[in-house]
Amino acid sequence: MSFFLLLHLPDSIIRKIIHGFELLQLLEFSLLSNRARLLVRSLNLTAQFFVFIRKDEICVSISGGRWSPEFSFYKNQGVSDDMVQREHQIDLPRPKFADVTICDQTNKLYKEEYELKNWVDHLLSIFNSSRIQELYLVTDRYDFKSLAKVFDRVEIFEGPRELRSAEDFEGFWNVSITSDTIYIDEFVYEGKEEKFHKTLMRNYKHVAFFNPISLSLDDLLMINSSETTFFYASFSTQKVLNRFLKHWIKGSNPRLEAIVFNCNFEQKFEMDQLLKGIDYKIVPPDREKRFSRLERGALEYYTLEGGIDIKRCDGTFATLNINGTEHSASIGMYVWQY
Amino acid sequence: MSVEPEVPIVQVEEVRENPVLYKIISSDNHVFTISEHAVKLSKTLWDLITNLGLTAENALDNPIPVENVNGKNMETIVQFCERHKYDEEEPEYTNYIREFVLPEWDRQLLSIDNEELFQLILATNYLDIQKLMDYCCRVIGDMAKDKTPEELRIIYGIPTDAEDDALERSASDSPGPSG
Repeated sequence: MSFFLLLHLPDSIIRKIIHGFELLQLLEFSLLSNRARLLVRSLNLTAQFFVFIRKDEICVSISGGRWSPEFSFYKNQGVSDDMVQREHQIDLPRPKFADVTICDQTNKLYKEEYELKNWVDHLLSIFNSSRIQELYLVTDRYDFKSLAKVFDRVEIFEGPRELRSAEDFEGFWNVSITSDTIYIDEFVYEGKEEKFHKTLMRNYKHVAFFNPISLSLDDLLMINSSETTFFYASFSTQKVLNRFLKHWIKGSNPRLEAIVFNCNFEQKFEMDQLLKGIDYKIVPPDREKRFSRLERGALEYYTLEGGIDIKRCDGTFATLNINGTEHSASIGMYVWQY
Repeated sequence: MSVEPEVPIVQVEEVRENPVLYKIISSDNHVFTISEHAVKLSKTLWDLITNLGLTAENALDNPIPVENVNGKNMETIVQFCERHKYDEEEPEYTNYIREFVLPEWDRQLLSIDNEELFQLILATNYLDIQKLMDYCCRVIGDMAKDKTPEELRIIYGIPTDAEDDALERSASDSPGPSG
């Protein structure tokens, strides 16, 4: 076989040549050596990374302008099904290969010496990404500490579907600790109050709880993230929220920029109860105020028409947006940033 | 029924052919003649011609020396430029080089051994001939088609990391010019 000394060409020409490669060739080329990887990186390809930790695989889905490859690790690699039966979490073994699917065609990529972290870092490197946009943890099969080491740069962390024990939640906490945003799908509060409070006290950009959760005043006062959303919150009485607002007015939760509750009440919802003892001002609907919030990591702008203004002791304003029915209400509190 | 007006039929080639010719001397002293339209495909040569102030009258008396390109490559380059001198301008295939079809004539022209191809692409780069560069890159890129990673490593002569490290070490261990 005759050979062509590609790497002896000027980098600008090499880049032009490899830019003409199909994605699979490009990926294979990048795995040949560190210099080859850097050359692929220099093409300035960019992409967003989405990781799904599933029971039978760890899937890295990459969304780029020109390509959207999907990498699967451990699927059909005989990774200790017996361990799952014994209900042990498993360490992340060295993948035997990566399955990469491009346009419905699946191929195997091999790099014997690569641990999973090497694979992830390699992909982040060639797609010029510094972090994973979203990580979905939908199983507790894998050892959380190992996961935290591999996925140490995550913007949005979402999960888990099911936690078996307090240790699981500790592990979950370990994985989520480096992300900016955390979405918690399922969470059993009882017995895990301490861990729950740890999550509330972290200075995330955004925390969202998607499952029903009963909140006390102490829980609310521990919130330290900029934005917090409770999709199914419940309170023993409306007084909890009323007292939370009064604490905020006195200076609690200083980092809070937005908090939203979709909540149910055992008693009938009454606005007067919610605002009792608070100095507030009802704003006419023709006043429009613009706010921003994070929506899956992206900054989105929206406009509030009217609402109820309250003022903190340091002069900071917030607007309450309340839509109540008989036993439920959607309550949003948005702090003015200027 | 409409009647076609009687107009003289002029062959496009006839209008185009009345070429201004330039002389180029390769590094090994071979002399080539190239038409103005063809030489314009090389940005380097055309800039040189413009800067030297060569005109139809004095072009042939002032051969342009190109010391970085040998006669063999220059012959290929002149053939290519003459072949494509009337092509319409195409967008640069920087990102999507695969989208064009390499014409058979050009594929034949570039069916040369790898060492020659290597020298040709360097010459093309020096003379800044965009279209020939695209075509050369395509031919070199096509070598990777349907190859396994290990075949890719051999075809492109890509050293392993260990080999790269060893090379770097030996380069840093070797005495410098003064030493």
